[in-house]
Amino acid sequence: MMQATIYDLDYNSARQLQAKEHPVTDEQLLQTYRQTGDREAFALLVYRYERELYNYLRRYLGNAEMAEDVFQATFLLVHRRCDQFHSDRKFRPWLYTIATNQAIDARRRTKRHKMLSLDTPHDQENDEVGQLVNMLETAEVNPLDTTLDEERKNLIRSSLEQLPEQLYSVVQLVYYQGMKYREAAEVLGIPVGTVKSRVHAAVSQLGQLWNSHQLD
Amino acid sequence: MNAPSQEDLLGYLLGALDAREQEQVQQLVDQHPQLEARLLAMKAALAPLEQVNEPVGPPPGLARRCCQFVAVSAREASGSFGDSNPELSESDARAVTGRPTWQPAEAAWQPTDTAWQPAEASTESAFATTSPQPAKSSRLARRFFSSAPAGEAHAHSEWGWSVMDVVCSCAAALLVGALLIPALSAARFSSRSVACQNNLRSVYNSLTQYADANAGRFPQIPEAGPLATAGCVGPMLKTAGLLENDKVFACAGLGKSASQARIPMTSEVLAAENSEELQLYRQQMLGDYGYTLGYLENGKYAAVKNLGRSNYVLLADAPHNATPSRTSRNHGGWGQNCVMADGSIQFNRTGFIGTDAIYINDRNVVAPGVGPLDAVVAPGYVEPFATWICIQ
Repeated sequence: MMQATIYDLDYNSARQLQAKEHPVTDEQLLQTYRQTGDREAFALLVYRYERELYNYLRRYLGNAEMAEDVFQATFLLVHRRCDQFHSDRKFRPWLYTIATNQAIDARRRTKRHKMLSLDTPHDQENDEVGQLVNMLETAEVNPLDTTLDEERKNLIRSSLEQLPEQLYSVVQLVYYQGMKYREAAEVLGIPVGTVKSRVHAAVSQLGQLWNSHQLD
Repeated sequence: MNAPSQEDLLGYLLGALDAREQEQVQQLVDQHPQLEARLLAMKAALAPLEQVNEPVGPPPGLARRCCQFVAVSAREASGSFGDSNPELSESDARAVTGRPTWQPAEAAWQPTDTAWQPAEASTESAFATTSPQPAKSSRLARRFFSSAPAGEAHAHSEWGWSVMDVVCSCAAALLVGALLIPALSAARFSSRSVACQNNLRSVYNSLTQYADANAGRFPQIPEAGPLATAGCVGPMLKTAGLLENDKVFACAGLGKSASQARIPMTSEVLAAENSEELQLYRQQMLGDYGYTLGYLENGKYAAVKNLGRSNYVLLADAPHNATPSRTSRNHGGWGQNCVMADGSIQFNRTGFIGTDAIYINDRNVVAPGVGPLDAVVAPGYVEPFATWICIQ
């Protein structure tokens, strides 16, 4: 990951604030960009969704670098396909549809080329650059509790990843992104009823997995 | 609304229902306290999910890098992105690729004054940048576009290889192949030639032992009878117990095509019941090699004496009827191993030792030499006096 600078931090927060407070809707910004090619409109969209979409992808993919790549890929597709955006649609579900499809592809590729290195960060969630030697030292007060807690979280993450892709997607969208059934249905292009049953099936499956691991 | 389904209750808990549905379920929960117990059970079941819901923020500069990436990728694909402000375009390209767009890739190693200077911080445009940054992120991101719509230009493949990378790699592979293949081929040729010479040396040792036991004369080909061919040497040496094994008559230069035949004893050849069996023996008696037919002196056929001459070919790779000067094809037509009467072995490329042809006599005939200095090597099946082949 790139090194942050003071300039980046200031610039980021200022732009994010500016983008959020901007009175123009997402759809209008995309419309403006499509018609005039105004880069500022495009940039406002990127800044507006920077945190939300990155968090979604970060959680979906479980890897910061992949999340950043998919984030960039998503907005490149927004640029390429902005002509295909219907003005009667909402931008957010459309963006999530693109991002989810890209994330599914990325996960599929990762599964295909999954390799394990001794230098792989052992703490994926915190995304520290972990070397094997780092595993020998800790600054925690109670290493046992930390280990048990981390083990438990890893178990939860691993059971989430064991879900079929269609169930995994709805959990990410509905539970973690807080989308309504209707919005998730729009993102995934499936009926609302299907989303409901998938969420229920996902929760049931997770419950079974956790019970089998005696996770309460 | 009647009793809510499990899905609706779950949706209510997650806040995933529409406002109207949410309100309806809320009313039912208020009216039926048992629903609240179910909701609590569901909430407990979902609790583990919350434990991994740790908030993470985007890395600093993500949006800016994204805008730059889109700008450069879009320009690569279609030549334009948004408005065409040349300063911004240049800045975008430099920020993502680390070099200006007009600068050829070959010259990218040259740091220019402008390329590494921080641009002025602009709060107006998200596409302006402060310093060149590595293209790692962009390269990685390209891997995610293998499913992009057809017709869009892609300079790089899924693996991040450009056409130029592939061409250069192929050229390098061809160059290495061109350097290695001849060397490997020459090494194999050389090793086979040495193996052949070892076999010939072994046969020569047997011949000298034979000569020592026969008044210094090498085996003489009978003028008539079943053994009246150049190949009689094999059975004679084998019968005399001088042969190490039959494989010494196999030329390594022929690889898998080398002779695998068993060398018969003289008694077997003499007892051949018909001409076909005899002809088969004659084909096999000397393996892949040829032996000197001897010479005529004063009209009398004589065996070669072991005088230790260094220019008289005693044994050699068998000749081939279809090549000029009947040179051998045991070594791919590049030449033949020749054993001289003094025991020296040389790889001959011309078919001549000095001015003397190896495989024909001085009268251009495959027949005994016309004098003691005229060596003629013939394959095992050749009869010195019955089959004379004229060479034009």
